[in-house]
Amino acid sequence: MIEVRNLSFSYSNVNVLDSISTTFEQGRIYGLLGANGVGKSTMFKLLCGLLTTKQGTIEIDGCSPAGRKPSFLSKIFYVPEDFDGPDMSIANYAAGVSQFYPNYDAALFARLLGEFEIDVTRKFTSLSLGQRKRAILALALSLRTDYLFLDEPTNGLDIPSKAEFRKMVAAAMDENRTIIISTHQVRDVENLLDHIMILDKRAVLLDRSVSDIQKEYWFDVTVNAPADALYVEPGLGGCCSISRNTTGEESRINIELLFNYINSKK
Amino acid sequence: MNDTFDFGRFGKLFLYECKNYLPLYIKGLIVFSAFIAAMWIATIAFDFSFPDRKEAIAFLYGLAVFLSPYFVYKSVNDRKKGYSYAMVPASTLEKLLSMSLVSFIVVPVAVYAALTMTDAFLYMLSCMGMGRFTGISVYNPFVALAQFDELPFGNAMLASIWSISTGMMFNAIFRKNKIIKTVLFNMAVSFSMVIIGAVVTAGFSAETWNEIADFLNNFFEGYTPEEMFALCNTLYTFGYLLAISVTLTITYFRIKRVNY
Repeated sequence: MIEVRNLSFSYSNVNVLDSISTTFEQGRIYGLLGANGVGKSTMFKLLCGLLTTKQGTIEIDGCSPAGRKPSFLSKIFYVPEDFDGPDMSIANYAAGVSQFYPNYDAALFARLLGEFEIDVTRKFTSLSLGQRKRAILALALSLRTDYLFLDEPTNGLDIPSKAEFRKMVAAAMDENRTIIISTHQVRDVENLLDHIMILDKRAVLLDRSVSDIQKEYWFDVTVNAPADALYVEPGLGGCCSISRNTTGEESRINIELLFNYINSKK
Repeated sequence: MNDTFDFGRFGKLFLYECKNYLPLYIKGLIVFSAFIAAMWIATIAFDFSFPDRKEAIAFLYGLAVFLSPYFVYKSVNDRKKGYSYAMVPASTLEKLLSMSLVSFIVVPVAVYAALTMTDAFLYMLSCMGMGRFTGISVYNPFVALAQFDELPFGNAMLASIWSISTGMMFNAIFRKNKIIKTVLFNMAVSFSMVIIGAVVTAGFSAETWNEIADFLNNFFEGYTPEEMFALCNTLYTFGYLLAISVTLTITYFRIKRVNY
């Protein structure tokens, strides 16, 4: 489990995170959402120990990431938004990196690369951005680390690859893993997430499971805005709205609408 | 799991780094070998003969070895690319030792082998009537350094390691324009030391100088010139070992605490 307590971080004089407290539990896929510059990538770097906390604490399975201990590092993997890759073939890179991760599944890696249509003998430097992204995502999922941090994983992926990505992440999930996905492309991961966290510089604006959100809110598209709507946006085919869920039934979450609603309340 | 040092994990890391940086080594070796090839072409095209090819090769060797940390471990503290190095599940001690082995042994051996083999190959062509390379320039860097600085072999080797470890340290400290900043930093330190030395000694009276001379005379009294030389070399050895320890310690903490 990841426990973040009163976490504050700033770059020089620019305050990025301010007294953030939250937990990330095992067996869940978290969607980390927020406007540009609220500190989503910074949060990932802090979770990986790539940045040192200035105030507050982070503990992952009781271990502080900033120590960068091998036993901790072999439990996590981070895929940044821009992954250039080294000047070597995917096969060689995977062979080198995977030996440090005890749960690596070589057969899964081969299968995922096949599904992503990536030739393992090709060098990273000869691949397009989307292909590099697919290759590193395949590796990230096959390392089978307890914690996987994906920063904008669907950026650069074509439409079939996005569908493959969703399938792969869903298949890779088990009760011992925690996957945190930061993205602006919320529609790409809409059906994948089981917990949504909306981050702001000053606070965590929303930190709820998808089922809790569905129990509390009703998402609808109607010709006219409902009178009791909490938030309305014009959309194709009418008005997209959020209302209180009074029926007890569950509607499909429109994450973009939810994000805008939560941000409008701050 | 031992989080400080594990021999198996260190071995994996060392081999991983050797393999990971192989394309870079090859490119570098080709570039430096090309310089010798250029010398050889000059002998054919312009009938130019190099009086001391060995010194040119020695210079190339020194340049390649001392600059290698800046190229091989260039991205170690890079905000964007350095994360992959930091996240390799190995301890800082293992990373430092692997970096030291690569910089102190792998690169020097590879550069030495490439330069000598290129030279030997071109000499072979010369024997076949092409060019005028006379004899293979088998160059021993430590013997050459020892001759140059009048240092014993062991101290020459330590001097070489110290230079490389200094490169490793500055490479880990500076994020951009590493080589220029290293040169400027060293110049600034040297310049400051000269000025401080001049300012301090300017205030010395003739009496103080005499006292210093007396102290040195008393200190070395009874020593033969050979013994004095041996004592100085021992002091050099300790000095180099201390300097290497300091640079490696700074590199260790820099690698451990660098933010990305």
